Amino acid sequence: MDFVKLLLVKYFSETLGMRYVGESGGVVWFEEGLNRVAVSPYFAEVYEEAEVYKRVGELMGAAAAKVYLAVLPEASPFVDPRYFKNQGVGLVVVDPAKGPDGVEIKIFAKPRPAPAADLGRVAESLKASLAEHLDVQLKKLEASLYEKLRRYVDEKIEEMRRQLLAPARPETAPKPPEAPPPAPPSSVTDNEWVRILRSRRREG
Amino acid sequence: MISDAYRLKYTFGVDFGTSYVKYGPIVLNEPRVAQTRGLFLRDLPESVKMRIPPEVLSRGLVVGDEEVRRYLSSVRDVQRNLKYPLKDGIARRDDEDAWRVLKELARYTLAQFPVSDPEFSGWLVSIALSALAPDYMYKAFFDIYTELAGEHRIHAVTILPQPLAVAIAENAVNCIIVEGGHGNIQIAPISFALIREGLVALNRGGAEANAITREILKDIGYSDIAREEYAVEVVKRAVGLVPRNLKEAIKAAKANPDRFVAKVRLSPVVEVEIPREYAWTRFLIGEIVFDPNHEEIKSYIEQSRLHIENAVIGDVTLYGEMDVATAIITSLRSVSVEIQDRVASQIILSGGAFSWRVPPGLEDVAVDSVGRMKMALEERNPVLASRVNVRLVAEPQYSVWRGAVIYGYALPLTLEWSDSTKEGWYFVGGR
Ligand SMILES: Nc1ncnc2c1ncn2[C@@H]1O[C@H](COP(=O)(O)OP(=O)(O)OP(=O)(O)O)[C@@H](O)[C@H]1O
Ligand SMILES: [Mg+2]
Repeated sequence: MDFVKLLLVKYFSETLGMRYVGESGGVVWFEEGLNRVAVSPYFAEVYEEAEVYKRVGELMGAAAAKVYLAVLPEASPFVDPRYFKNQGVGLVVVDPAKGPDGVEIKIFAKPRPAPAADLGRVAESLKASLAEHLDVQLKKLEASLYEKLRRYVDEKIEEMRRQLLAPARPETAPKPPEAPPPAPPSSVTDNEWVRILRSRRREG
Repeated sequence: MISDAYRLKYTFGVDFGTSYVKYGPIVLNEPRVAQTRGLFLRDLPESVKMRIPPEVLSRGLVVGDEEVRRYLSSVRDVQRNLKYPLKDGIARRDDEDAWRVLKELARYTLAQFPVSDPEFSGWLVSIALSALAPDYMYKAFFDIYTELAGEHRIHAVTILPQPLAVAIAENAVNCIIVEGGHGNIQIAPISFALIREGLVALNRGGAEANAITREILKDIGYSDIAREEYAVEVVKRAVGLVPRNLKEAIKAAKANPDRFVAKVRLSPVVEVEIPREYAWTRFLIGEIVFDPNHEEIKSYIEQSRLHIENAVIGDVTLYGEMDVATAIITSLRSVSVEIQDRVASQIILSGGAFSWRVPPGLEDVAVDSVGRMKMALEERNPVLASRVNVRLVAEPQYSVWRGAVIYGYALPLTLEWSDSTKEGWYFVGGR
């Protein structure tokens, strides 16, 4: 076990009086009375915000009554204390330069009633309701697009009808309704740019 | 022979924006929209691989909002594999993943519009890129469409700068275009063509409004929500306000916060509340697009990892902190005096970053983008302000596409692409 982790274990067992259980899957486990406490050490040279929160997420799924993330002082800029407090996740900062006195609990973990299973379910239902919400929004969007499409088709049919009613031109056989000859929309015919661009020629 | 009638059917516009690609044939009333991003199907568990159609797997990535969402949960390292190819409208030359995503988007957008018409002899593709796009981007896009010509029939391709497209869509021959998207704000004087000397670009856009929204959410205690881009986007649009005058708006909001508290429902079970003590921050969200030079905004920038700084693309500097009014005046100064007079008659705002609304009842302190622009000009240069007409296009996110298809319809097919004038058609099969 490396020095930093040793400091951590020493602190949790000697200062806080917990029983060291062992390590599994990168998490250090303690027992506090009948309750299990999980500490995830994240000691890195270069810290990544995303990684911090990924580990917190994993911790929240752990079957423990209290969970802590342990980091080096360098991680501080990436840690948002409010988030930790809101989630009840504890934060331990270990400064190896200070030796045994270098361990400090910045935020105490809140005891959690029945962690693992329930949190998972809440996350699932949250995801489901978000998906449902998105679905409704999409349907609305579809409806409005459909409405626009319908109006467009109506317009085109109307245009075609007008053309058919106009003095008959010999070979303009009525075309199938789904492919009316595109009449230049006014945004094109009245557009000064069309005239300007049409006159563009490469100068020698 | 390609007739005008043909061009009115088979001109295809694509606006490559930093956050959204707007695309589709000229016959559409409005373009389709897809997020500018792609998901690489790397690091997949075997069990997931088996469920993916082989042709998708062999391409190695997916694009399209639905498609990306479908596979998102299967990909392990989303940070590495979800790629946004454009930053400030630009893809780096050596960023291979970015170019793979752009190619996939080019393929995807065409594939949405299969044609069975026997008269169809290929699309006329008109692409709108940032006015700052370096030469290598032009070449790379021509290469992409040349490669795609094997799968989708493509007759010829042309590229035009986004601000020019807006001017065309607006039928404005002399004007200043201010195109503010997600990644950058392009300010371009136009007089029968885009005047390159007058191009001024700001390294800000909707993205900065998102960034400050994210910080505010964290401050209030919604750090978990702040990490979701989708949620930040929704909150920004719902609560962001553009102040008439930031100092006074903040004063009003602090004196009477109840008027400015807001709630946004993100889902049936998640609601975000901007409480009384943070109500005033709603004004920072809109203001940052127009002018980030305020104490209140600076302090947010310092505490966050948000940077507002200059960026350099080729020989153009994108200013981080310059306010929009100063940028317009700077742009105007760099065109010849004779043209200035013509150009300064109208300022046209376009792009999603200007889509702010004023909630009823807050008109005394909040304004829309046109109002904000007029006031800023008034302050900096009353003479200009008194004679210029400022307006916002009807559909800020679609006008670039609209201009692109009209351009594609009008540009003579006898005009072959020229690298020096950056105008004309590139014939993908050669001629
Ligand atoms: N109602 C709204 N209120 C505020 N912002 C909005 C609104 N609607 C869209 N936006 C913002 O507009 C931006 C997207 O606009 P747009 O599609 O014009 O950008 P883009 O073309 O993807 O980017 P760019 O042109 O910079 O490359 C996003 O930042 C989005 O949040
Ligand atoms: Mg854009």
